[in-house]
Amino acid sequence: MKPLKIRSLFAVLCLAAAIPSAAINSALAADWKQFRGNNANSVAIGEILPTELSGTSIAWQVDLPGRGVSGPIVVGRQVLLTASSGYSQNRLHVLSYDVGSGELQWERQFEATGRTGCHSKMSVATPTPASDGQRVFAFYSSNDLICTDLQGNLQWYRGLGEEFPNASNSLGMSSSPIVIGPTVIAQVESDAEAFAIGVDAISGATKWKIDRPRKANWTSPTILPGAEGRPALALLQSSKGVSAVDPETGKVVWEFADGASTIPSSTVVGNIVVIPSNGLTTIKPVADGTFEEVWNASRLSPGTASPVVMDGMTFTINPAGALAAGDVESGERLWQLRLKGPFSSTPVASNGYLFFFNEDGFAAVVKANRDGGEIVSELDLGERILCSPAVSNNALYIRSDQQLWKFAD
Amino acid sequence: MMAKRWRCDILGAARPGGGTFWSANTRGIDNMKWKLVAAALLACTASLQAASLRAADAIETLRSVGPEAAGAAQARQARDVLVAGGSDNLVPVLEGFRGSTVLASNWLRSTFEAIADQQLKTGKGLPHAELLSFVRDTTQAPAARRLAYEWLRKELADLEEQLIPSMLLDPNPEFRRDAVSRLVDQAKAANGPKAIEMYQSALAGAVHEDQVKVIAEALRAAEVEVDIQKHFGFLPSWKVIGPFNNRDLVGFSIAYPPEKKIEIAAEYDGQLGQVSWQPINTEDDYGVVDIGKQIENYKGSLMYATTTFRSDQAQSVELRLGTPNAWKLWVNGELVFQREEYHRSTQMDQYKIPVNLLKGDNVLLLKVCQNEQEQSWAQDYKFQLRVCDATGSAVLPADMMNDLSQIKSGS
Repeated sequence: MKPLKIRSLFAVLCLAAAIPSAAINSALAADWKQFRGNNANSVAIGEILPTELSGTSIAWQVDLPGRGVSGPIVVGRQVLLTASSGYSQNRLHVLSYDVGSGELQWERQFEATGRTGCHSKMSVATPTPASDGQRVFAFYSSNDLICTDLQGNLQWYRGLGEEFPNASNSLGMSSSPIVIGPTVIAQVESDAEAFAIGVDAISGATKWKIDRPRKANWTSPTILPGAEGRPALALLQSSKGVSAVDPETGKVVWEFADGASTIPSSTVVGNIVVIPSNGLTTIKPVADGTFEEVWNASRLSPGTASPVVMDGMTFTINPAGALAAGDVESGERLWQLRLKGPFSSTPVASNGYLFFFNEDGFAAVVKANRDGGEIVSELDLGERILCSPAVSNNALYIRSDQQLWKFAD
Repeated sequence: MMAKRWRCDILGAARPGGGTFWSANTRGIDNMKWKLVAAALLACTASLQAASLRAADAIETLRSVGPEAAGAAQARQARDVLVAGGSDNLVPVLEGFRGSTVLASNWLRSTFEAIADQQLKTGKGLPHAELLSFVRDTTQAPAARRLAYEWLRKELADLEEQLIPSMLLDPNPEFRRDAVSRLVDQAKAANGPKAIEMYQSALAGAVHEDQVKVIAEALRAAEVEVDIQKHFGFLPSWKVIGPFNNRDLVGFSIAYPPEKKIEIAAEYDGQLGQVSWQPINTEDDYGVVDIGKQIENYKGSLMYATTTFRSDQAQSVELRLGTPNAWKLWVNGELVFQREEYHRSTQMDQYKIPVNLLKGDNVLLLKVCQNEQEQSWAQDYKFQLRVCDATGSAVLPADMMNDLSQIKSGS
């Protein structure tokens, strides 16, 4: 582990654009409005999920059109997700299902304006959509960013693939957008062209656009909630590190420049940022716009799935399925548990349990405490799953390539 | 629908005794009544014109949206007007696709879907005859015809059987795919000459790689010759020159002499000594020119490849390129696209570049760059390029046009 040190990079605070942390989570607490949840950290607070997964815990399952590895989100009584279809996968779907029955409420289809080629493991519908509680922001590997209202009425359409035709990856793009206050933030980063963009949630107009490291990047932005008078920030990860960006202006407030992974994304719990960097690295932002690096642990390195923090522990899972638990304050590795891998899906954490879905559709619930982890139930769904689950009102939602599932007691 | 309802309501109110409006009038409606009816009729006509005008204006507003969400606010209002107008606006909205950008057609598409969804959910149904006629009209935008078809299929179970068999050469590649799929299924169930005939017919319409592979495999198993290169319009004959230096990726932005002028007889200082243009041909089914295997995998290098495409007319086509290497492409001296990405996979039709060809000879110049990655999956140094129309159907050079007709007829 590296010794504790303090760095000062960009001592810039954008107080004028301060966004209270409450604005991030303005909809119902039970909503799950974006990739890895409202605070983009995979933690479902106050939810009691079924831990004995079995056929009887499946409330409903419905067939989906086309293909997709994006995750579902939940807004009010709606489960929203995306798919793509057609020989070229250039048909983009936005779908809304009723949380109670699983019935399709509405579907809208669009034609991709950008490139739709991608690796067979991925899909054009890989990024998870986001919502501000009133609108849906559906994003695709083709870099089409589509906003509809919750009834499916198109509000605006950004063909970022058409506007910036070189910002694409022949393996596919996967970064999911986030919403902070009135801004939709998307990372569009490839070897040929790379940028991040802040789009006005209501009008679709560009509020800011900043250059990013020209390197293929599949990570998603993360939210650093505001605290002690500081604004909420968007954390943009790349091979260079992590940039903390003012969501209103795109101005970089501070930068962690020790490099980071281009696949698993950072996560934030409390005032700790957990970064997939040189294994796993944690930093704590401080009041003057700088941050304090706390520890680095090479033995806690994540694979494709992003790290999760619950009950003072970090959880990372490597490509082979080894789950490692570490102490979030020190980086000490606490224990390891072998699960059936491989994993692309980031687990969700709730009430002392972790919920995993491997690439073969095999679900595992792990009860975790500082003494160790225990697999309490398993269920084979028999379909490829690469997305991360959503949690809302004591129910868990997951999508396989072909189906959407709801688990609830 | 709104315009129609207004018309019916007013005429109905004016009908005395259930007779027609005009006969009622001639039987002696008093002067005041006549004035009222005339005023109502004028108002109705004006409303009709206004509604029609509003719909046309609304469609034009949707067609006018631009990049960066330009026109989105107006488009939302226009969409609401069209949705309120109901099913009468379905076909006009579809007609708006013709000549629209993909971005604009997405606004039209979502408007159509909102109206159609409303029609189905309220039990009113879709106007079958009008939409069917639209699907059959091949002068309309291919995407709009497909959209109408897919919504009609929700209500007409036999629609596929009714339409698809005749769509083998349709301007919409999705219709073609469906027609090819049906023929291939029938061919698989048949034997001998009948099966071969079906496969050949299917090949004539096939524009997708997976279908062509299945058909070609079946035909070749029956010892029937299939020219996949020609079917897709791959360009197999090139002249190449290189290697030029691309160590540390410097070469992508350096304009070496072939970029400035193509002189086939010239020699230049290359990365490893003097270089000159050399012919290279490929017999690969999918037109892959494999520099790494056919010449050498010079690490940190770049090559130029040129060929001439003789077009029988001035025309818009798509150049479809596949390469895992960084590249630049010029047509008649104009840089049409460039991309600096290495070894993020490759596939047929990886890049689709719309270009305008001149009548006569068109000179294509491709710069292909190799980096210095050492992983086994980062050693390819190759490209494939074809000329086709928007459906993916080959556009052959003028001197092969006669052969094209043979391909289309499946002979």
